[in-house]
Amino acid sequence: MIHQDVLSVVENVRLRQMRGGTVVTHAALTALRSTSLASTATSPKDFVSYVEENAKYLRKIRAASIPLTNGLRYVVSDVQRAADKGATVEQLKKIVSDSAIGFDRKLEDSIVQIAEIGARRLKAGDVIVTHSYSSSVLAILKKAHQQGKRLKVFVTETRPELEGQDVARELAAEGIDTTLIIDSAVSHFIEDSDKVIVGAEAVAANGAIVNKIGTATITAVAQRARVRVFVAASTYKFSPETMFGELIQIEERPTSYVLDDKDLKQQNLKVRNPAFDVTSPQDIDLIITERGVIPPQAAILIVREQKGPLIFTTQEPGLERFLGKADSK
Amino acid sequence: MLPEDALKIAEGIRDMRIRGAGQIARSAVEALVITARASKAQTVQAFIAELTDASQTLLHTRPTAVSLPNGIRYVMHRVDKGAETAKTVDDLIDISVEAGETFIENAKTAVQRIGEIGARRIADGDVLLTHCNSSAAISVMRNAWESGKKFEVFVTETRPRFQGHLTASELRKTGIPVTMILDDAVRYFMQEVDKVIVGADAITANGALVNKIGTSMVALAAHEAKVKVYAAAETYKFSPETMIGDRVKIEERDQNEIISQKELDNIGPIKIRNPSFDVTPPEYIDLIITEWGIIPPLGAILILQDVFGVITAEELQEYQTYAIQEE
Repeated sequence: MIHQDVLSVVENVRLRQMRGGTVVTHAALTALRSTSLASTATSPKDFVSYVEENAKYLRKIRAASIPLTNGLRYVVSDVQRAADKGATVEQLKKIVSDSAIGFDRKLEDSIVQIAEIGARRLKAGDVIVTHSYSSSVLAILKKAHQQGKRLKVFVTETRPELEGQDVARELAAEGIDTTLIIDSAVSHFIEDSDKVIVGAEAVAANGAIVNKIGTATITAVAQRARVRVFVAASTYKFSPETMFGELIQIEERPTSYVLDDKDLKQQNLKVRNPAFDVTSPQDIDLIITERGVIPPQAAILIVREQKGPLIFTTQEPGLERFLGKADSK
Repeated sequence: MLPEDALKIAEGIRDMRIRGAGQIARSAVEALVITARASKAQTVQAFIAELTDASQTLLHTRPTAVSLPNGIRYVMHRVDKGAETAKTVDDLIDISVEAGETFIENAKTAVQRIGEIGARRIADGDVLLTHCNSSAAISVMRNAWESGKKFEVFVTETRPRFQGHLTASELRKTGIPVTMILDDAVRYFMQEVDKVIVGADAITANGALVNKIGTSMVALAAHEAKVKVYAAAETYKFSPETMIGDRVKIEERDQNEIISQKELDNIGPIKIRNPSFDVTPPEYIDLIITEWGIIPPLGAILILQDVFGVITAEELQEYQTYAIQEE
């Protein structure tokens, strides 16, 4: 049975009232927590399957968002383990609550650490290009600016939802020299730039990243101009499912974001609006995580450390043994 | 001062109601013809001064459209030559009108010729991709479709002015299936594409393509995916100044094309940069389709030498006369 709180979060995300993987994850975990506390299950077994069912439903909010998947898995895994050890329903409820809050806090802390580490890679006078909205990227830029490194940032408007305008607003409020450009203008300005920094919706086992549509083009342009490409992504964005062949799903959003012109639509025109694209590891110089800087090829090390079980992938018994031992204690 | 009808054209070019390099060149030449016809000049010198004045006004409407100065050069070159022999102002008016009409006629047939030549490169079942709005590129697709080939076209919306909407509409009227995508989504769909076909605002002496902002990223994505890139360009798009080392100027347009003043004020103290064109290097272009035939990008110099000759010091002077004069 899907709880009302879960349904309302799913609806809010669908209506685009929330942006950014971190924000969505926070909302989903909060819903899972309140849902579980309101559970009427009497046996630990019923309670665990109730939590699992709601978690699976919440994951569908945004399949490409890996912190969401990882956060839900983190909570479910804690509950399953405690139930195996004979915890009561009341104890399990407390575990869901602690676990959800705990993951949320780790996610928040990771951004602080990423800012600290990422800012060290920036020099005074650097010209940066960024695309779409990323809490981690904003944190790095703000941190470097606070350290007295004068930066100049090119922000793409990021069609079709124009979240680049929000990025520009936040940077300008911080006093950072900010220039807004259209997405197509990146190659024109790349020669004047030193670094491209973007966030990630997901990092796959091979070090490829899934991020807002347009990222792959920008990074390809940067590589050819010998401009460094940094990806800011907490380890919670690394996807263990991809280790077992699962492809990260790229959702297509409403066509009205791209084309609202009724006259044109009447001409029987198709519109496609994929929200994300995949940047290959060859186009990434390094990934900045809260645990340090890694080359994209080392993503597999982080992926293997993620906690099982793989509740969201095709159930194939024994797959978890390929993952690290982080969950064995 | 331009006559009223010519002034309307100049304003149309400036406000981008008149779009596409071919259309711009033809319209500018038409404005020059109107000016010549309406001239009340008493002497040959006064007439030339009047046309030179009009040329400057027209050149300033769109500093980066190479076709525009080439069109004006075509007419003015003949007017200057004609002045040596012309006995009356009326003779010179006839020369101007005839030169202008010849240019317009050639420019019109150029697009159709390019369409016929380029259409042979399109295969049945192709998936094409185009960026911005180019009459030459559309002519290729229209000719291919009318010759019975079936294909479909991805059209980018083309920020900030959405010229892709115009392209989509023109292709749909011909019956060609169209899928509209974001400029950002080009790389995402490139695996499904067989050929990229774009127009040109200018072709430089080394075969580089100056075209709508974003073109170079489209070409890069195609190059990486081993997708062919065709540029459809009339010979009047080739830039003779680049032969003598000049760089094609990249125009920056009004910031309010990107964001309204109200939204901008709301964001705070930021800058906006809005370059209108970018440069695609010749390595990313497979061929250029001109009305004289298909050339590899590195053959651009041949076209330039054929059309404009090898530039001498005197000719250089002439080009500078009709180049933009910076204030």
